[in-house]
Amino acid sequence: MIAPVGAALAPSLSARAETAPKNSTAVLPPVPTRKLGRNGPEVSMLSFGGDIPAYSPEYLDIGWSMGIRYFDTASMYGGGNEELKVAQWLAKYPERRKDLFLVSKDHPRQGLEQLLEQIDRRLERCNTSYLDLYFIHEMNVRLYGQDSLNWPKSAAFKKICEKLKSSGKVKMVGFSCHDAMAPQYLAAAAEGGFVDAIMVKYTPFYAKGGDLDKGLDACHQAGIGLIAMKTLRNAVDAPKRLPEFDKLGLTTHQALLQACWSDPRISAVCNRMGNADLIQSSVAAVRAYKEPLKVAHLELLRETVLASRHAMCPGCPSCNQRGAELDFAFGDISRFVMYYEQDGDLRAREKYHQLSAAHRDASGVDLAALRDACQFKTDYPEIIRRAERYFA
Amino acid sequence: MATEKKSSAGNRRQFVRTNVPMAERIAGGVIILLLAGIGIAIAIKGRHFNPDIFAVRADSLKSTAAAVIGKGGTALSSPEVKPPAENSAAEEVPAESSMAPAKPAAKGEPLEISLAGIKPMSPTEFYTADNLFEKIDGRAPAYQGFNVQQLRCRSFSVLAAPDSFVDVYEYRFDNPVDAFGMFALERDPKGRPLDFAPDGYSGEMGYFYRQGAVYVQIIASDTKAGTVALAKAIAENRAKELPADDHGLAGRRKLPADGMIADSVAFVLENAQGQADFKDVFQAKYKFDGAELPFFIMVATPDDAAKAWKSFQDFCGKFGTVENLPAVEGGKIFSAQVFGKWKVVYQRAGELGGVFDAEDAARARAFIEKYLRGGVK
Repeated sequence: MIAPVGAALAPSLSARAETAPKNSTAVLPPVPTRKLGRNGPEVSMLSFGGDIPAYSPEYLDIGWSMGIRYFDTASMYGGGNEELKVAQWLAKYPERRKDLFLVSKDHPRQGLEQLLEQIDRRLERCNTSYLDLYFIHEMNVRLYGQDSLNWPKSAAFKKICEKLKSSGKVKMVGFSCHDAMAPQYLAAAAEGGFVDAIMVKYTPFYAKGGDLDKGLDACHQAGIGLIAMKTLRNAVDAPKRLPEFDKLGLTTHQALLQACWSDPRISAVCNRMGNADLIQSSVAAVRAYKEPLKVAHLELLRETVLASRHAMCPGCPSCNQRGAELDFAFGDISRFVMYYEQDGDLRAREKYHQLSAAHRDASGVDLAALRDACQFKTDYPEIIRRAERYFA
Repeated sequence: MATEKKSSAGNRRQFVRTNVPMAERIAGGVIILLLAGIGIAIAIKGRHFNPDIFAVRADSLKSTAAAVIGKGGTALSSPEVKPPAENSAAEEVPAESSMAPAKPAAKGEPLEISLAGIKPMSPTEFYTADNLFEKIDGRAPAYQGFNVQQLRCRSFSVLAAPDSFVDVYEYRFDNPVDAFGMFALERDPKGRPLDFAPDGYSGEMGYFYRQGAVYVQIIASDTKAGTVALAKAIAENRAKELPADDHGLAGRRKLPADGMIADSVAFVLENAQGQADFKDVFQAKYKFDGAELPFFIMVATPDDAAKAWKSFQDFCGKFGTVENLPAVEGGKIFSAQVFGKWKVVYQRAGELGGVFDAEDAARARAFIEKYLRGGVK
């Protein structure tokens, strides 16, 4: 099994001088913040989120004491129990709620109206009277149907967003998306103009002027807050140290995080920090961020990522286009392989089997052509072989 | 007064069409031709009809019908269906769905149990991960999540009680860790521990345990003493017959049984407690001196165990206060208070373990010292 992301980042600990408070009562100052969208609040540039096996009130303590004030969870994380850990933590420190930016997500599979019912469950599970940001989880056509492409600009969703916010249960509404159709969803959101924030699969190496780049631009100009996710997933096997970044006092992975923040459109990076080393390393990276990385450094990072083995395309134009055309869900399948290999997440098998037979059927799909056209040369023939070995 | 019979049309004049337009005649002819064509097509298709689509396959009901004969005494739905011959390997029926796409059915060794007082009442059934839902419906995805390879199951009737029977299910997984994972997921918190299978428990009507890569479920049809006794005998028989394999479960074997809260055992593949060095960790809660203590164990090489212990100690030092405690029976120990909770962690050769997130330092320490002295079995 491939080393987990945390292991890859572990050496950064020795490279950082300031990483942790010295005793249990010490809490480091908050990490740097950015404004989330045109009218949103200042939020930590580093979000503490994802489906983490070690998630517990004590684990959240580590994040908080390191200065992170942005927690991201979801109805389905931790087998449905992760929000309860947030609840326990909030029960322990009720006075911290006002300083915390808390996000949760849900799947309105029965239609947008369901969000209005689901929010009560989310609040109850998190032991809070409001969420700072409420996401539709995993926006994609397979889950929500073709019509969902229009949701971000639909009057129905706009009305639901207004209802949610006027109820006081939610301050901001948006969606998360790591689908090949992300450019279309982003474009629709920019057109609609009422979505507050979007969390999207992101890499700092998108081709300028591509569909996704245009979508990000349009959303940014429309005042929609953008949060990057899955940012380190493609660099797990990259060399941990490079001389050029050593000079900056950064590991390769810390440089990659800084490359994300170098994009002014990105307010925060939601990083699945599966162990304490990774938390410390990521916090060190955000605290060390002073200015955008130079183009030469970005280019070096891109080449390093390209040269390393990666389990999933971060979303290049070719994969986005083919993903929208094909029934075969190669994007989802490679994501599940990544969860399985990098996180040891056995539930990846369940996710794989939840795909329909047509979405799992690679017959008639030229996987080599997919790989060759991918901007990141994601090795689909090999990844799909691994998926069949692990899950089929 | 003369009565005049009026027509049903009342005062209206009867209308008889004498002139039918040509277009209407043609349309009528076409419709008649179409109806005739459809009739002919049905007749032709009917000659070559596919029984898999249009007919119930009686042989696919054999095992079900046989089970019904023994279990409920219900009348057969078809006189052609016969109960299986006793102990015959030749009559094993692979489970196949007429709705499923044609594919080779899973087969394997029939499930034979040589015990007095029972006899097979149905052939052995086999299911793969793909058609497991036919047998266990909505539970199948969870089993697939742990990479189930095959289900082998069979029902046995109790000779002394015609209405009683015992169902035997053997789920084979790809490895013992996955078998344990599924077993742990379904564990009944009220179950009683078994003396013949460490990863097992009994309920009112059944026995459930992991043996090697197999998760075994033995379920009695009722709570009669004789039926339950036979279920236990079958469970013990299967535990002896199935190969023992604890690969990947070394930590599980080390978890003591004394005071363990049975449904609290969990396996964490990596990053246990958020530590990059904690891999293949088993955790369980223990009742000790009136408290509930979360306890973990990891088995590794002595070097890796020592490295993980030191790394955890450093971590605790960064976020809390650490105190080294006197070694006990070759085990070095530290105690730490982190975010208001206590951890007492030991390392002895290739074993690393400890109590974590305890409310009370003294109890946590007492538990670890007693464990290292062999006082917690």
